[in-house]
Amino acid sequence: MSAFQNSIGRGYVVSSTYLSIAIVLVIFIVLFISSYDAFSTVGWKIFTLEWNPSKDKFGVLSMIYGTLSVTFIALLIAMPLGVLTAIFISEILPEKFRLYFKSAIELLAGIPSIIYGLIGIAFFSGWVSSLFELATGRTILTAGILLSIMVLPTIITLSEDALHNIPKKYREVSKGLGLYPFETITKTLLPIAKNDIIGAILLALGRALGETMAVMLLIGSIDRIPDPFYNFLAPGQTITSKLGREIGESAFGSLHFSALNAIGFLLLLIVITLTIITQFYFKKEDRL
Amino acid sequence: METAQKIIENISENKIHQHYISISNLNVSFGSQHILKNISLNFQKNKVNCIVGPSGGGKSTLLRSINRINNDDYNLIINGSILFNNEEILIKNKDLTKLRKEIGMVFQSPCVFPKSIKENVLFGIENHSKLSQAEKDSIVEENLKAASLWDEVSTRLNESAKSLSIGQQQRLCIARTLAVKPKILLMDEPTSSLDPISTEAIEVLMNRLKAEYTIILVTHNISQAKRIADELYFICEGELIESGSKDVLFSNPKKEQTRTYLFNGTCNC
Ligand SMILES: Nc1ncnc2c1ncn2[C@@H]1O[C@H](COP(=O)(O)OP(=O)(O)OP(=O)(O)O)[C@@H](O)[C@H]1O
Ligand SMILES: [Mg+2]
Repeated sequence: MSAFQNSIGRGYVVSSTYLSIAIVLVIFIVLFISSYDAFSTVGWKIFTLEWNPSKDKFGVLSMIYGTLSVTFIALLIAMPLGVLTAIFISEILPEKFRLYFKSAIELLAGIPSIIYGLIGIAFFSGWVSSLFELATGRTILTAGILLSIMVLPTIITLSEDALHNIPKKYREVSKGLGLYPFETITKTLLPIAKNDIIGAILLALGRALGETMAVMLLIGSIDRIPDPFYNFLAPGQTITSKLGREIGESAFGSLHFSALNAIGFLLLLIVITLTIITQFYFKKEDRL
Repeated sequence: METAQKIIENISENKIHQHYISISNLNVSFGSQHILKNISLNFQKNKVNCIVGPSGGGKSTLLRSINRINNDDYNLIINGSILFNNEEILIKNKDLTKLRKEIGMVFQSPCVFPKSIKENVLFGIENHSKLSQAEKDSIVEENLKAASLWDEVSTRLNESAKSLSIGQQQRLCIARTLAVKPKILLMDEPTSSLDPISTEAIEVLMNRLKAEYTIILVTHNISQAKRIADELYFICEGELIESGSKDVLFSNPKKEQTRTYLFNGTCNC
């Protein structure tokens, strides 16, 4: 390759890196500017419980709570289930069935979230309300369960790729040292695939934090932290469901509009913080 | 009286034949492809048993049948008998993990785990028995010494194994296999990805290890076989053409094909 081509390639890589950073920065700044009004007017009172636009009260705690708790429930279910399914497809299922399974699962990932929401309303909320004898099945738990199903394909597909891409020789060395098939999975393969699996979970986390439609239909949309706080059988509100419901009715430029931008800004902060923490804890050192 | 005599004879014979591997009428196919044809041979205890032959002849297939590492291979069909310690290896419900602890394997290209040097040595043994810190340290030292690697790495045991040279990585793989305390070492072209100096280090090592282990070595390299083999097995197109002690095969082979292969490196079988 000539030095000229080389410098084109280099320029391309460098400029697209800077472009992505710039886009993130612009989003960050624009959001901050639009929410500045709310931050300066409401101040620290933004971290309170009451949200009432007609009284200029904009407390976001219940939404932050709702976002974190549905994400927590979703990952609590989807993480073990997803990784186990990935192990099953990659290591136990005969190779000839593998691609069928994977295509079926990738199909699930492509279903629009509103469809999941409709199915959730039609079935899940009914099941939850009759199972726990509740007045309404639209609860934090219902939204969390549905969300777990929605992020499952991401975790399965990417974790399965991570496992399947490990060269065969690592399995043979492990077997050759007298490890049981189960030990080969837990001691040899999972540690090697660990970082990629964490990447998959991170992607799922991002999707869970940002998912709007399905959650909005199922969570009940009440700005409240249940009592006790781990009572997930109560309705709640997430940042995204709040935005989805109210952004249309707020006047552009109003304090209400600015406050909605502010919770969007907070969501972005949560996503970025979680991403940085995860990347900090799981450095790329154990790569092959 | 006579039977008692017989039993004693049998027992002593068993003792002599301990850890020997005795293969008879072994046939291996992948689907309709017949790879190994009616192989019968014995590997000798505390010797370097060296399998030579042209590429694609089935040397690796033979080696991989001995610890049944090919057990999960797609459409493998295997028939015949492999006795190890007078026990049949090819039975259906053989405890494969136990078998592989006794018959260790070193692969063609070094395959270290993305862990430290120390963790790599301990990788197999740690899963088989609970070890104290002191035991771990002594196992690491003992086996790295056995693999002639200790002097080079003793000050950097906690560094990543990937930081070693390829030749050092291969010796680390040998140390890792030795740590499990096998009786037999299967080595499939262990030096083919190495430079001459590392190759020599491993050849010297094999010569030393045969006092304690039985080595079954596959090699492409006829001069390597000449240097370190005790017994020689010439396999071509899935058939055992000739076997015997190295000196006999090199000086006075019975088969013309053996002579051609050993002296010209070509094969006309
Ligand atoms: N898992 C498998 N499935 C199908 N065919 C196989 C498999 N493993 C080996 N073979 C075939 O068996 C034949 C013998 O292969 P093998 O690896 O045993 O030869 P080899 O003597 O070790 O050759 P080399 O010296 O090149 O390593 C080859 O034709 C190969 O394609
Ligand atoms: Mg081979």
